[in-house]
Amino acid sequence: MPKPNAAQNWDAFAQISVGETLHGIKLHADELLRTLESHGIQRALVSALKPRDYDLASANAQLAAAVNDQPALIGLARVDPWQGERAIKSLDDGIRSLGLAGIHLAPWEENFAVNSPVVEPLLKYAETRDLPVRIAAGYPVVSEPTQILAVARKFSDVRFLISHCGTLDNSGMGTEAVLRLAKATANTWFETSMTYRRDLILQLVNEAGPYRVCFGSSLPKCNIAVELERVKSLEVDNDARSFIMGQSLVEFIGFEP
Amino acid sequence: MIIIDAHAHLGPFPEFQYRPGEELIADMDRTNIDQAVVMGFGDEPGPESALGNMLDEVAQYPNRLLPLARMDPRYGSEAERRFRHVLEHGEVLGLKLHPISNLSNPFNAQSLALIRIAAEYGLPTLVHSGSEAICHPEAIGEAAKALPNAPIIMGHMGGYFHCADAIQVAEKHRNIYLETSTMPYPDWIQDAIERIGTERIIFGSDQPAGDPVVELKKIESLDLTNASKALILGGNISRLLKLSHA
Repeated sequence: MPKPNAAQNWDAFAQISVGETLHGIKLHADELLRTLESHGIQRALVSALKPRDYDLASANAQLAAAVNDQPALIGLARVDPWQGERAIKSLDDGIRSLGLAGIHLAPWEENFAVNSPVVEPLLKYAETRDLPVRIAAGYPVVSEPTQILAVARKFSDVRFLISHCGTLDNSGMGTEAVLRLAKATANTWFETSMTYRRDLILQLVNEAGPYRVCFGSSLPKCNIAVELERVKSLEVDNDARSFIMGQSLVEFIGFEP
Repeated sequence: MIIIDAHAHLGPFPEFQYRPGEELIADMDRTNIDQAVVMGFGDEPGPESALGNMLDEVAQYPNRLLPLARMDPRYGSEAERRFRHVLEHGEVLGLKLHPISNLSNPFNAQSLALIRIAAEYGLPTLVHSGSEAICHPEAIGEAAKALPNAPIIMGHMGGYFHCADAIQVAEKHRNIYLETSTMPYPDWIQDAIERIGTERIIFGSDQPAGDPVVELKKIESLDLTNASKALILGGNISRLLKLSHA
């Protein structure tokens, strides 16, 4: 197992509001940073909450403006694959002009199945440019662990961060599929927020490795103190905890900011 | 303040690891939980003798563990007979129904028959809720509507996707109680308190899958008076189970 060397704690899954959001949730970049700082987190991987006007290109531009003023935040371009060529252009603008560092896919809110062919042009773009891809995962119908497995196998050179450890099934039946995904792929990382099954997080740490597990808060939807408790109460050693709290995410994004 | 975990599991089940009583008690001691309402992972009747195994474990910790009988409504009169038997012998304090496990809608005739029996003894039924149609809060609401005098605890208060539905259902049916485990949103618990009051909110952890530390943190993060906190963490379930310290 590699040794962790991250000096900073990271939040792998936060979102900020840029203008009016679809669901009325608000969290500005400076508010996010204050919240993170008060809980001992120095940096975060962020994307834009869905804007009320559905204009993701504009949201990405506003996100980039916000994170460019805040070096502690690394921004991801949020794109809707149903937009076809416009999605590719929006992504290209986000990466090359705005300086965003990767892709955020939200299959539930953008209403696409993550394993649909409609997503592939975006993933080919990620593959070509060695961009990390974060997936809002575990949503029924659109981003279940076996759907992500199909994508991660097909795009084995793309790094995927899978939110909520890949399952939002509170009947507890997603665990086996998540572990299959973790064992069958080497290009997947797992983010902890909202994961109620402590045994799933622990099995991912033990069977996939702590260097593929990342702490996330799901701010502003969730409570960071509660989400931190999921990692604090895990029975893992200090090296594993260091990976989960920072170094794993540094390896996922592919550079040390 | 007495802390009672209203939703914990005990015994063997293939999808989950075996959970012996001593491990549950150790987790309870570590997290200052005084008592836990326990149920098996499997249904009765069933291939795993889940209820008998669980009651054997419970017998070792009679002052700490409060058993519910997890029944399979598909067995109809046989399930009713076995449920009545353990109630009559004072071996359980209520009923657990898991629609995902037993593929029975909570409002169908077989499920209602079991809920009715629990209510005859003045005891509650805990029903798992979540995303699937068969355990949607509105499906549980239909059972509450059919049996308005039967206390029904909605486990997980709708889970990841249906907290709003759970609260709406609890607003419509005063015999619905919301149990807080697994759903990750303290804000929804706060909202529920404001809309239906603290008397129908019940703390649970869903151990061993759920982490009692995390689940307690959700309650601690709420804006509550000590009296309200005492009700949520133990008073409400104690009252429903007619425990001596209620």
